[in-house]
Amino acid sequence: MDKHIVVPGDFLSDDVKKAGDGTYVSEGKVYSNLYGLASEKEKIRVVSLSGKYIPQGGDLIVATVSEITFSNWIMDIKSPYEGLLNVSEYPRRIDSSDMVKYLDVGSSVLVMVKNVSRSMKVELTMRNNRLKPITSGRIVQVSAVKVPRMIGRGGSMISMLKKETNCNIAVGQNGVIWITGKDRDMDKAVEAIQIIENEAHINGLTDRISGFLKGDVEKEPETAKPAGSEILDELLD
Amino acid sequence: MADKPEKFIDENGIRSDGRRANEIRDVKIEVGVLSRADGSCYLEFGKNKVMAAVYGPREVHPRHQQKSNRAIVRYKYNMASFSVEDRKRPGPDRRSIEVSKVSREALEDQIFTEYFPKSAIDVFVEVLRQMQVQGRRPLMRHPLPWQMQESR
Repeated sequence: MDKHIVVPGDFLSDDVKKAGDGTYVSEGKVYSNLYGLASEKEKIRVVSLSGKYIPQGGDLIVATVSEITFSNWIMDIKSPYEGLLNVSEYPRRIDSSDMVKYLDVGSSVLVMVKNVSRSMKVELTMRNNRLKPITSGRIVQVSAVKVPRMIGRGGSMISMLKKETNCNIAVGQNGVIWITGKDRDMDKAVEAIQIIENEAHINGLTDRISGFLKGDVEKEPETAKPAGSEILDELLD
Repeated sequence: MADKPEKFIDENGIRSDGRRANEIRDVKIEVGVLSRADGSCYLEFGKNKVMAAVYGPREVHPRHQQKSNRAIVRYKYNMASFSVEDRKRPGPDRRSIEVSKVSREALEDQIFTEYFPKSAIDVFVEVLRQMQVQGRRPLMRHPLPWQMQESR
């Protein structure tokens, strides 16, 4: 498959029917919408090489509380826009005066984007029994455009990473990754994640990561899984 | 400023800096030089040296500047006080304000600002060394040497 780098406005095709993701049509011709890699199958699509996270309804993300207002938690979602988590979207009914007790400034949460309005008001929700505050583990930030590589086709990359490092890993669509496991295992996972981020565009990535992990991970006897792991398993399957 | 030379082009067709009439100044471009910027570039054009950085789309501060239907583009062109032979008074002056405005308007039309409502895209252009008499061309589309030679 032939891939080449395009910038916004680059001409791609005369055939309007071939317009895929990351393209736009103007005067019967297809142009690129993004800076990224263009590839052609039935349709021409452009995969972004850089950019910020733009929230969309249904995204699973890791957010951090940056401010607390009367009935909302304002959250940093590593995007040009901030996320709003209303008290009513917390899994249990809580009084707005008690908000700090549940989520204080600086706490991170696994949340879902409920809705994004035209004017980019981002509403978040935790009303899903699998979404909970993050109490243990580590958080790593990668570029949002690398998230698809992090997960891999059909979740192949992430499931391999979880299996080989004995960690539980949640990849937020905003590029924030939550890892839980033993310290040494987490070190390994973080290292692997950094390799994926730096080499995301090079072919044969899954094999290289697999080699990296199998090469020097010494298996340790399986112990009790860390808290919250069953949530992650369910979420990421 | 050095005195004006006798001739700009000598009998052999060589200019005072050693270039022929049809030769462009040496160009050097390095991209991604600033790790904190979303995009950056260092450019040398002859003896001129410029650093440029782009940030965004990001949150708009101050808030009242934000547009609910598109991103705003902010462009700041600045000449360092040490960029010219005789120290320049630092800060914006009439010329750099105009260059910023013209450049911003040129860029604004090239960006799909409607995809990023309520956000800001900031561009900073810092002139570190400025040798030639100033033209009005801080922005060029594809300022790559081979393309410019072709267009001559």
